[in-house]
Amino acid sequence: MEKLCNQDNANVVISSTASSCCLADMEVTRAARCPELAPASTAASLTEQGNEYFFRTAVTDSSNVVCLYDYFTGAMNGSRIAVLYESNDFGNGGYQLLQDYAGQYNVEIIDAQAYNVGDVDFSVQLTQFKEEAPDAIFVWGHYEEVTIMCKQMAQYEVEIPVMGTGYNSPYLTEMGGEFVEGIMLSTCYTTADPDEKVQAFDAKYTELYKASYDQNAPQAYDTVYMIADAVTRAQSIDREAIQKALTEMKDFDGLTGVMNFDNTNNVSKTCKMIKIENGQQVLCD
Amino acid sequence: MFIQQLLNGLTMGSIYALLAVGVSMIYKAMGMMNFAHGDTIMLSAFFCLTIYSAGLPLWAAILIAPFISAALGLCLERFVYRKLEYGSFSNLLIATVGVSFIMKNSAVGIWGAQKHNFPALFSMKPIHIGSFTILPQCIGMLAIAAFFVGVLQLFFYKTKIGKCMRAAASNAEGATMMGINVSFTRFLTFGISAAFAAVAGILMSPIFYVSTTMATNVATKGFAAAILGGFGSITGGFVGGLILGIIEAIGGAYIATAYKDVISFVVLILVLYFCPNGLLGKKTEQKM
Repeated sequence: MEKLCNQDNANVVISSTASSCCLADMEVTRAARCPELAPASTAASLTEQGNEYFFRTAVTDSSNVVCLYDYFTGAMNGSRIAVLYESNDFGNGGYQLLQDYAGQYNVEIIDAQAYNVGDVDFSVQLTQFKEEAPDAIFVWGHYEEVTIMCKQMAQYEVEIPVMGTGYNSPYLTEMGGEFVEGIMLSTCYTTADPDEKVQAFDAKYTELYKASYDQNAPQAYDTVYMIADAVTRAQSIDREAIQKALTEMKDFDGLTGVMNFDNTNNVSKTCKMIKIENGQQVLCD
Repeated sequence: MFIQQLLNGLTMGSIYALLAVGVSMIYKAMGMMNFAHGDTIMLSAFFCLTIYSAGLPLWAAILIAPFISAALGLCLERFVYRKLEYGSFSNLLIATVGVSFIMKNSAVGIWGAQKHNFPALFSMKPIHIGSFTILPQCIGMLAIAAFFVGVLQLFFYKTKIGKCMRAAASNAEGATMMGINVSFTRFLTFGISAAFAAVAGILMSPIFYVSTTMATNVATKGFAAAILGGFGSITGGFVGGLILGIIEAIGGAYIATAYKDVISFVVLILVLYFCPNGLLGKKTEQKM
């Protein structure tokens, strides 16, 4: 980031995927007064640093929590959950938000267990959850660990619904196979969405790159066009002008929704609940 | 729940035991630490997966992969480590680190950075003993690890070549004077160690997925388990691995799963404080 801001003199930067990396590199962009847009980082703490040059264009974890709790307490009529989360800024932030919103939705978190990225043995957590019998296991993690966890759930006969976020990746079904059938997650983008823009993007992406993708691709796509929109409105590529134009962005209609930046530079996005059925994403009823 | 968590710890414990035995074996036979052992395990897993993906039956891939790994180990000894003439412990250590980097990056170039599925080796159906659940893979891995540990113990203590390896590790000059071909024993040691690494890699693959980083985290635990049990002791490595796995499971269940690695290493330090040679290691005097 030092090189981008102070040597290459970028007018605007699109930042890291990992929230932990963003927390570190945003100090550079803040000092350089360079607008930084994060299309994939979801930790709540990123926009709590008072950095007016940092803009989150990814869906926030708060939006995911609201979507998850809405579905859990509504369609599933659940009230008791166990949480399994990554032991890093992403996972810790997600768990904190689950705790913050639990009272509002009358949800009781009966147990919460963390795991380290790269862990392959979830027997300790799963055998405890099996004994505690929550209505659902909320997982805040990525597909690598989630697929292993789902396989071990089958091995230990833990028949509890799994829902969460962070693992919306084509590798989820590729690696998880039959073991991730029925798993649910909240996301701001899914190819199951019949919206014309979404279907057109999906067709074009698949044709160009011959590969599948997760929600980071459309979020990054929207981010680039937000920058283009800001430059067009500002009629300038000056860092301060772009920053001002971004804060004044109004009803940007992108692939992942109609978006505005709030006073903490988060975009508002509505999430959807999806489920894996026969190896495909389908919208939950 | 305590008994259940104890049983849960045996799966990872078996993996740590296999790794610990592998590194202990090299130390026992050659007096050096091999930081490329984890990457040998990784490459062995890829060899097996590649052979299976080429269309051969799984059993054939499992039989062939250790021989390819053994050949890799023999080549490393012949063309890399032997050039260092085994004179300096630190030079050998750095060489193994270098080999580790080359192996890892070569694997990324050949197979890519993504993870690959590996077929299950044991039944997915759990075994219920009263109110406890144990997975067939746990029993299978434990049994296979114990079998190979037994074979290695017999090899080192009951066969002539095994005794020659131990003699060469203890005093290379003295062993040469006794007519032992020290160069050949070292050559053979790396081959056997690499074949053993293949066994570990194949057993780990269904759990870890096959990837270039599959053994990175557990390799450190393998060294810790070897030290816990007594570095250079094969039985100690096996016992140390099982104990480490159980400590992780119990510590995770009763303290916090996020801190299980911390708990394991705190226990290791405590054990070394009271037993500097590990649980089953023996204090040896170096005679001038």
